[in-house]
Amino acid sequence: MKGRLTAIVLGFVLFGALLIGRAAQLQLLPNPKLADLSKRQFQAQMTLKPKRGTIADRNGEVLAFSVETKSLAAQPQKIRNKRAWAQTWAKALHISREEIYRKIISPRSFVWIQRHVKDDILQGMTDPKHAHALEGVLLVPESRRVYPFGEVAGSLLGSVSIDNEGIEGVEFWKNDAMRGQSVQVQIQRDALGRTAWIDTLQSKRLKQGEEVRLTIDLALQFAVENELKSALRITHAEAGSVMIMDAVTGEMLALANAPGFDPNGRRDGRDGKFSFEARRNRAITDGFEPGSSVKPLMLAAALKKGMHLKDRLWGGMGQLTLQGRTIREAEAHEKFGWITLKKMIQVSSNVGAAKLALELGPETLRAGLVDFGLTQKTGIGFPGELSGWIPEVKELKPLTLANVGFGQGLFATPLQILRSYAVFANGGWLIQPQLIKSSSGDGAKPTAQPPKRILSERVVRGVNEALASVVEKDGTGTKAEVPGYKILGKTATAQVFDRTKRRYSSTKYVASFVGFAHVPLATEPAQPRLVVFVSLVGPTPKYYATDTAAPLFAKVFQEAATRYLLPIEGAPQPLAKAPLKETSPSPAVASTLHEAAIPPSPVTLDKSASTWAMPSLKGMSAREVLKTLEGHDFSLGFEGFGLVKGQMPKPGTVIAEGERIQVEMAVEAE
Amino acid sequence: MSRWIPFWVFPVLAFFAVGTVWLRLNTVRCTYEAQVVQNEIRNAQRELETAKLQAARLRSPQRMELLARSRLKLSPPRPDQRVDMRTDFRTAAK
Repeated sequence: MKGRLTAIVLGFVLFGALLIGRAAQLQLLPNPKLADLSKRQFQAQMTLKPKRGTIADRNGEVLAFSVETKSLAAQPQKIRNKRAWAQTWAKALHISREEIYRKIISPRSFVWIQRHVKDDILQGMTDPKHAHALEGVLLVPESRRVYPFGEVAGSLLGSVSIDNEGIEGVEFWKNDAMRGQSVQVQIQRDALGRTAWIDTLQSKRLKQGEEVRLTIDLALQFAVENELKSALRITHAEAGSVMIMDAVTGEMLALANAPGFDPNGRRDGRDGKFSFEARRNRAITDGFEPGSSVKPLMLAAALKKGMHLKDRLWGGMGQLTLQGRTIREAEAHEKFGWITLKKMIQVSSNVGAAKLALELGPETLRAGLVDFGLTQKTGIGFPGELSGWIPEVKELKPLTLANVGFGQGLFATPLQILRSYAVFANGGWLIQPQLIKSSSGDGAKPTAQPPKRILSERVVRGVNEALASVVEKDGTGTKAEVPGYKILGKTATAQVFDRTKRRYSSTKYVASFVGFAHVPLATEPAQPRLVVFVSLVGPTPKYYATDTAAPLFAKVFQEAATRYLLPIEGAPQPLAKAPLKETSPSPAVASTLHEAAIPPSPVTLDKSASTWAMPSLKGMSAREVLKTLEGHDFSLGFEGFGLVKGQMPKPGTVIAEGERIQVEMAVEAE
Repeated sequence: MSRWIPFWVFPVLAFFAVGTVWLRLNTVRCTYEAQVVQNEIRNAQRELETAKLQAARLRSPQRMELLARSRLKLSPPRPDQRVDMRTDFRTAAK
């Protein structure tokens, strides 16, 4: 009995020893096969993704930021009834059943179904009746870029791809700094797949995206974009740009292009709001023949050479023939005999400018324009910026030279022209335009070149005297006048080269105005010296800058002056209130631009109880509606967002002060 | 036996063994807790983002202008209506 018991005990001891031995072998001795199995089961690598940095305006108002969202993916091998699965998700996601079905019958172990799915859709799928559609479903947390102000500064901000990589605009330009740096960290999972351990030391290397603060002022940008859109509608121009820059610091306060685009729109262009044309930041990436805005630059070269504003040129009675081609006056429509340099600028004489160009000669003229940086990038850094082009000296034969004198036959970007006029506004310094004000890191820090003096104060004073005359009586820019300010600027109506016909178009022009307000050189406190550039491509039927760009400039400048409290010249002058009630023929805004858009309609005017003919508001934005009805005592009601789709009372109906006007808005006007 | 290994070694070894297991269990428990907290943070962040987006839309210049003009009957000031507070403060200080 004792021997048997001993044998059993020994057996157990031996078995225990075997178990311990085996455990020791597994745990202590290196075994690559087992180590690999364990690694695959319990260890994994996780990518920690940084948050993409925000873009803010100069006052910290966030223009673009990222929000967390979920993307829908599937593991096809885990889906049993693939047809029913595809049917259910197709209905929820509003995409074709075949498209989903094609994806889930693939042999792959992971397929995307839809990226960035709305929360309410996923919420709806938690219903028990959709249980079959949750088989093999993976919800992957991702980040989605949001632009809370929609179209405002759209072409400047740009957009990101579905994977949050910048593809255009500031998003592309500062992509490296804003996307941050992701890290791979080791994790260990438990038997249920939950994360049981994270390498925190590695995770500390995660670098979040930098916040980029632009020099743009959101409120001003919005106001400017609205003025530009209104001008486009009124002048029937196909595109336009407006820029406002601080002439001393080079900071861009507004940079608007129209038509614009909403970066929140669909990336596949299905909604038609993501076309290449609409996305381009034309003010920086498009070159144009600037036209008469080059004349003051040439004048500066002439004054530098020792000429004076009172020096006279023979105006050829309105025409000049060179190499068999005749140059004629454009905007002035006058035939000048002897003409001073100042008058040449005031009336924008092409013949006068051609004569001055010939007088200066190719070397002096070209060098004078090159000084303003027209052959090089401005240094703003924005992707796609063009450098401009002026013919080489040897190519400047008399006809070409004369053309360059009045701004044809050379190529510049609107930004280069704006920067050139900043020289006149700041006393002779060529500055580098800035779009980035600050950054939370080093990756997107602005890099400013020091300003360079290119004109003496004497030359600047001379050019400014000529520019001031443009907005005075008999000048081409009288409609750019802003009450309370002494405006200095220049109109330009440039011909557009038609590539298909290989000659200048006789119907399409670019009308522009660039100018600024007179600010005494020594002011206390330092006042912002704002330079404004406006351009309209293809306005019709009125195409002269005098009638199209100059009024737009006045409106844009007024917006800037209001926001930046630009002091009024001399004593404040009480301004006449907008002509309304008795003097207004219809409830239309007093501006020239709006008069052109809304022709006066017949009205029954009863002074005791003013009644008006209701204008058509269709297609207007809410802002335009309010402007149109400004000064009246109507009770306004808005429904929806977008453009006016319907109105009550109908156009032409007689309406009295105090009555209600109901406006129905929709995203797309019918 | 005691001639080879002192008796106190066994409790010490047992103490370290139990300590190691306890430490490991605590690490795992802390990681689980950290995960829960992280999820809470993530949810709070999502709510914050949604609120930020909503706030930005409410503050948008489009909406401000619409409200200012329609509800408050405001319009942009004429140049003579503008008051530069900076200038006024300076004058008052002199």
